[in-house]
Amino acid sequence: MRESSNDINEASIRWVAQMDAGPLSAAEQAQFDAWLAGDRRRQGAFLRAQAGWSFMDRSRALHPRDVATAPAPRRRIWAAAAAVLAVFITAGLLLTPRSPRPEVYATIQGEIRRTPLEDGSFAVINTSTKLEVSLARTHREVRLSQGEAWFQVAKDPKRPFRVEAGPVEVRAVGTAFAVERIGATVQVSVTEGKVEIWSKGAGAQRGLKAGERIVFVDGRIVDVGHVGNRLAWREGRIAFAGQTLAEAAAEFNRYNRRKLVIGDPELAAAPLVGWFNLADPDSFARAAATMLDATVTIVGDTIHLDRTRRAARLLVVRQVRAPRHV
Amino acid sequence: MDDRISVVGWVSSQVLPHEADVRRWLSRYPGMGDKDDLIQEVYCRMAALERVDHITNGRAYFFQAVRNLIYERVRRARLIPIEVVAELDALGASSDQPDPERSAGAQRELVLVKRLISKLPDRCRRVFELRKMEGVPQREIARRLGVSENVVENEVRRGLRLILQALEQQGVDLAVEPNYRAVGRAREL
Repeated sequence: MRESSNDINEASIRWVAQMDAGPLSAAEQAQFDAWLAGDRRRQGAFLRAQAGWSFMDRSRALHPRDVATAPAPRRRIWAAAAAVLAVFITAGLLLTPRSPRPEVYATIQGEIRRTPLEDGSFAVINTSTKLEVSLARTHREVRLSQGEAWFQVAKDPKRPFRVEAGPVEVRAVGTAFAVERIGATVQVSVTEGKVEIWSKGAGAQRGLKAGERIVFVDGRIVDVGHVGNRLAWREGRIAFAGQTLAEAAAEFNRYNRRKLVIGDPELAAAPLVGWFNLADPDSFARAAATMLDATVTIVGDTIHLDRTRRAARLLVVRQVRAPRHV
Repeated sequence: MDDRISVVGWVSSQVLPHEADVRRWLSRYPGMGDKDDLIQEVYCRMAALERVDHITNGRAYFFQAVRNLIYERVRRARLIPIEVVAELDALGASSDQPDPERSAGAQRELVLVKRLISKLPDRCRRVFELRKMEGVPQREIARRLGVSENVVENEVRRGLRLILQALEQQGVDLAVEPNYRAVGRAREL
């Protein structure tokens, strides 16, 4: 009997909720892949459920008081407000302009934090990152000490949004971009709109637009390219399109306590393609082993990938009978 | 490699808000087949898109995709005479243009989302506030609310179901308050 569209929608919602709870295990991922492939309609329903979930992200610019359900009786609110006002005036707090204290955000290894900012902007902060956000009346400033964050900047022409990462400074009015700082290397990727970049070592300012990426070392430009899949971490994934196994392992090791170790230099230089869940180095290792003819060996928290050793193959030569002409 | 993230984002902001209007337009032509089926098939085709940055008008794209699907089915079934198909085309084209009073700009979407959340059942609403407004992961929500992770995941399902149903029935029309009781007596988990 044909599955009803209601059943398909329910199953899609179930998967979206489960994937939101945390990365799927290898078994769960296989279940999902099988489910998705089982009926063509499921792909559309799943996309729709994902879109519905994503639609609610707009609420990040709201504060819980904006969605208060039971409105309190008016008189009580005014009385309470008046009392609070009185206290502030007495304490002289209303007369003193408040200088904004920077808000510090720090993520641990493997943590990817999605957080709204007070001005209505939104940030997704990557693993092992430390940054400070100062939002004032005339400007909005982020100081990135290390790591990476992607910002969707709420439009406010009166308050430019600035991210400072060592010698590099990125300025935007209303746009979305990511800045990464690891040691002396700073990388800026723009996903929406345009940004202006200043750098102490690069001379004049430079513009960067959606889809573009630029890399600085010690403030000097060393590479300009495309954003591509670099920001897949925001969704908890990594994409490889020809990077070597060594590069891929290094990426995974940034996010995980369980470390990948590649035993063979030739294996380490092999290129890879695919999308992976960055919190699951074990699944990645198994996939890589299949793609590159390697073997996975686990010792405690270390995942070893080595070239598979094979016994010498015996070649069997079969005599092929010449066809008879009829 | 296609950018999966931008397809979902594009669908959520450029396509999903128009679904209610597409359904309303489809209900004028009951002979076209099961609405849910048609719409799921269109989403399925969208899922196969590699890029979406070349599509400037999601609403128009959605309507056209539904019309194309209907034409295909009509051609295959050969049941409906060609004049009816032409009429479909003419009437459908006018539905393409969004009512400027109702078109969803960012501000209006925010108001809609606010409303959608505020009308959710209590615990479900709290879960959505924590998850979507404050970005708290499900596991942490469970800890804060003193419930199991299963309960939180169930509330996510419940809320998403209600929200999708509301979008399907009322779309982004701000003149209509989301009425979750009227939509779906779907099986509660």
